[in-house]
Amino acid sequence: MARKEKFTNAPVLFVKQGIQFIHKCKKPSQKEYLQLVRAVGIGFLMMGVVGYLIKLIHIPIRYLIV
Amino acid sequence: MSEIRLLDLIKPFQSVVPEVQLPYEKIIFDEKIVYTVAAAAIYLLLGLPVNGVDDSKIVDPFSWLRSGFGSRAGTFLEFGVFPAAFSAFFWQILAGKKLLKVDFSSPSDRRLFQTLQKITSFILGFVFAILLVFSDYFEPLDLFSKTEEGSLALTSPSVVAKSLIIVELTVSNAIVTLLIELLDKGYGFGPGILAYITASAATTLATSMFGLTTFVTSRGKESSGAFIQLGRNLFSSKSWTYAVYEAFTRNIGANLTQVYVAIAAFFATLYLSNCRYEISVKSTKVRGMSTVYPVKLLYCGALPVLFTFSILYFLNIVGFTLTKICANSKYIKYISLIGHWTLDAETKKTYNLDGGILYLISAAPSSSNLVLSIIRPFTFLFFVVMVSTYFGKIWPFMSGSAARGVAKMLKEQDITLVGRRDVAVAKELGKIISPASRSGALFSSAIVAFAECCGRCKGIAFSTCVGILAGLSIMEDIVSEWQQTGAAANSQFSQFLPTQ
Repeated sequence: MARKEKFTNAPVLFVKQGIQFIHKCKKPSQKEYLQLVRAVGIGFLMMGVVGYLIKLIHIPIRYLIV
Repeated sequence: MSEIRLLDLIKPFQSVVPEVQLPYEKIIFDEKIVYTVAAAAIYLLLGLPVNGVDDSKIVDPFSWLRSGFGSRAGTFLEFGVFPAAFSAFFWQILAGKKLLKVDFSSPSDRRLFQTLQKITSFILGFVFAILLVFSDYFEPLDLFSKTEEGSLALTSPSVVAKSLIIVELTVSNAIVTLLIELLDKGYGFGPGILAYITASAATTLATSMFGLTTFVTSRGKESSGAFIQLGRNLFSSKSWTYAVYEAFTRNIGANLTQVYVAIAAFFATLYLSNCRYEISVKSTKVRGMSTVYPVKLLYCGALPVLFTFSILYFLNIVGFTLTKICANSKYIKYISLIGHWTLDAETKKTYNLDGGILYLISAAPSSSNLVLSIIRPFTFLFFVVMVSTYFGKIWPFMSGSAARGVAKMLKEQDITLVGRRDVAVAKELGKIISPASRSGALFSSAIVAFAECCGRCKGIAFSTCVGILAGLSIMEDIVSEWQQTGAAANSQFSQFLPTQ
């Protein structure tokens, strides 16, 4: 019986711990968040442009080989 | 020599398997960026169709899984980084569970371990290629003729063409594996797997917005980019409302809804990834120096979700190919318990899972079996969250980023927690790190699984979340290099990156 209780308690305890942790967490301030969005955005944009150009290169190559 | 370890059996292969040499001298910051971008460009260039395969006609059962692994159907990137990721996870977990004895402090052992992962990745690529080729995956549907049973016939290539496809896929997978190693060995910003996932996710996002390529559908020509398609609609269609409505809801190619979901996921993931618990630490050498050591909520980043989906990908490839290869055997009754795939009637571009065990853990839209389709979202959610959380629980211990590893690292840097004795550091860190990694895995996987299982998300949520989290790991690598080596002074990129 005790084992059964432990089995059902474990997920509840786990979720509780998780929520507790979230409450203790420091949320990003607006300035930090914007900075992060900008930095990751630039990185993503850079990779997106590279990938996009490569996709454009693919179009003529596809015509040649298919 | 008490016993022969599995690792020692790899030794003879070490000289045979191609390997990336370690850089002779430390690569400077700018060169690293160039290497990373160039390697990503080469990776993306591999997205050309395999010889003898028309990738626009392939019927793809894995479309909802492949987006997060940077793979594309019918091209050299048929598997993307999946074999490398799978073998890395597999061996790292075996080593962590002490089933494979590796001494990570010895350089030769580490090299052997890397070789083992690489060989496994090569073999996986080869095996998957064989499985897919023999399950008629690469044969396009013949829409004009029908078989005796009335289903659509397949146009079958010759044996030579089949073996050529296998060779091509094996070699391209080997190239991808070596490209990953290139970044991992310090030529660029890594982990390599995550770098290519980022590149591929960014490309997918860019092309699904502004892709210029057109394809022919039953309704005429359509563009792959959602915004381009909107423009095309506005010009061609008589009713504007219909044009906008169609751009949001079309079923083939990216639609605007998916693009906006991806953008929302971008901001949400960034917010979540910036939540952290700050421990105040101080230096033991310099008095009065105190800073914070942040423990992130998403401690393992993209890895828990990636791990779960790599298991799903593996099961799906094996299940799909087995059911196709054994379609005519007498055991098909039992094999089809694994999963049952039917052709999507509307688009004829994908097979939908609609039965079997794998259906229960998939994001497939619907099933003919009512009971199964009702319980499917719950089982899928349960599976993804459970596996990811379990992974989040065990991974820190396996990758050396658990409390003990961090405590050791802090000690090496002469840093200690404020108000704690040296002995208690690991224990105190453990109280923070393990809930962080577990609940981080729980949250990220729950978001992804929820977005995937309701509505026809088609892997967009998965790919964006994983792509951004992977990008963040790369970003962290870049920023720490930037701050530690003082690259700010002599870099061309100083105007783009925050100097602080």
